Amino acid sequence: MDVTTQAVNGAVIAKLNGRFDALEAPKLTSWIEKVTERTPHIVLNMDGVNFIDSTALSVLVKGMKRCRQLQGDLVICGLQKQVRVIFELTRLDKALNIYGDELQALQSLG
Amino acid sequence: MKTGPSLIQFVQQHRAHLAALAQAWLETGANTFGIYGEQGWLAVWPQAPSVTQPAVCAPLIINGETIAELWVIGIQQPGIQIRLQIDADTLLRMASLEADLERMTNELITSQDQLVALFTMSDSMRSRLRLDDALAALTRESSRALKAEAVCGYLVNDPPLVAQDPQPIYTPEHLRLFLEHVEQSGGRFILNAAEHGNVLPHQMQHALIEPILIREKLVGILVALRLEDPFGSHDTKLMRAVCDQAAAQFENVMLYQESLLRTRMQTEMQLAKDVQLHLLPQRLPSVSGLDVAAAALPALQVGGDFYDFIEQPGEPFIFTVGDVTGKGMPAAMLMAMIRTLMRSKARGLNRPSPVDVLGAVNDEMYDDFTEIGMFATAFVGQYDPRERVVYYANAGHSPVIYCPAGGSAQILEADGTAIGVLPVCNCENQVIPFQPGDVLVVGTDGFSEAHNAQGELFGNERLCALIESLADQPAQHMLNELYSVVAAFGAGHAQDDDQTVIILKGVRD
Repeated sequence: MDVTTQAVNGAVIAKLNGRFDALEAPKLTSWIEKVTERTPHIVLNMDGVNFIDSTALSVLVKGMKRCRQLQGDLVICGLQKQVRVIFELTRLDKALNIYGDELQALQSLG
Repeated sequence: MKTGPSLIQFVQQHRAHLAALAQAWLETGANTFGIYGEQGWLAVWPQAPSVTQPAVCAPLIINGETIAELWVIGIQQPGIQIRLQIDADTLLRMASLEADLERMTNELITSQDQLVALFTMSDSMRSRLRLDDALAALTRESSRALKAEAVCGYLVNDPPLVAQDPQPIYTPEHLRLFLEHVEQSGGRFILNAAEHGNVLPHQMQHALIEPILIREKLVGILVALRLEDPFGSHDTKLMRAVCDQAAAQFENVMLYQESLLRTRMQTEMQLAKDVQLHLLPQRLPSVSGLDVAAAALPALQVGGDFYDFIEQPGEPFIFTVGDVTGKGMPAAMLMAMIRTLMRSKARGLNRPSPVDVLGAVNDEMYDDFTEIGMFATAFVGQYDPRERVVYYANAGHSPVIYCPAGGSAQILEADGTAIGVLPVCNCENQVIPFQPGDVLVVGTDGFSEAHNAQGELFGNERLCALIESLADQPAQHMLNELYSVVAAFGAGHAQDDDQTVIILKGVRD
């Protein structure tokens, strides 16, 4: 998985590509830890992610909790169909804020 | 001319040859032949003349110095002088060849001694199973090979290992500085008292410091110290050989220690696996109106999946299935916690509904899960034999498949998020009729996400079709088929995730 990041209006957008699994999870965990030292507003654009496993999901939940603790949020956008199904099966779509695209996601962060 | 012990030795060693020469001279008319040194005759045939007579002389010259002379008396022929000089030269050449031979023999013996010492050292180190023992053996056994008065060894370790023979010469700190110097200078170095007297204690005159390298990585040093002889090129070669041998032995010890550690960890993992297996129900429940089968197959030695049955007289039968995110030991530890908590909440609350159980577990474990950064999906079902219904609540768990008798199998989707995700449980109690022939399969994603060599997932659709095709079979038969069909699908591909399942089938009482 590769990650490209971009700062927009006090928020940080990260674009993820490839498999997001237990192997890649530590990389994103430490990235989120580092970013939240500066801002708790994070958008993860996952339109390039074709696979996600439960360890990766727990990274997202952990990041979401951390951002909300800091009065921000970690929101997700651009889910591919097979990835969206995983969010629905685990009902994480009820916990994480998921948007269609980056613009909607950014607007949600105000 | 001089008559040192070496000259006397020379005459003794060559007496036979000198006697042969004397014989030849006496036969050709001479009356006396001998070797004459500073102090007089050293050897003479047939005996020393009583009066001084004119003699023909030829000097024996070694290294530009005349050490003695050959004398012939009583013969006056042309060419005598030349013949005698040839005898003298031949004698000297033989002596020189013999000296060479002796030197070579001595060197051979020394090399052999050193080889034996090297072998003894390797042999002594080989039997050591710990690094400190091996280092002690090295310093003890290498001093003989190196002809050193003292040897110090230092190995990088935590804490560093030091061995010195026959007594301590340096502090560990000194040796560490030597090691640093080796690291910076890139190799061995030699010290002598004239230049580096301050770093040569105990009247030592010479020190040779050699790196010990394992696969080109500096792991330690060996220091050889001498009171007299300086270290020459022969010594440095030998020191290199000693250190290479030692490095090979140290590497063996390290590999042995690693394999020991690995075995210990494997044993502990096996113990953990046994403990975990004992946390699972040891027998199937006996519930009127239900045919039950259950199994768990961890992908690693320990896993994060669990299932449980809670039977209490006069109370509805409760069953739980859960999956902690992640794998291995952390998941296994949380699994043990959540399973126990679920059991105590299911028993402790007054006639709890499935949501009551999940809510209470979420309340208790939310902070821990947040701290650790994990969560767990969980399903709690409650079968009431009087009503013949199953109440359930599903916190993000899948797959859960319900197949009513004669009907089609369908996925019962979760309505709440997993435990540990949100501070408050957002599940609701659901209910399904459970008459004879109805089937409920609560599995973990190890089945639906099993994939084949092409990376294709087994998926929920295949799972539903399979359950539907097996729905008229007893629960245990369904379970066996489920495992074997999913295993066949992923044939040749290692099982990625734990596979845990409970199968409930409604039967007539």
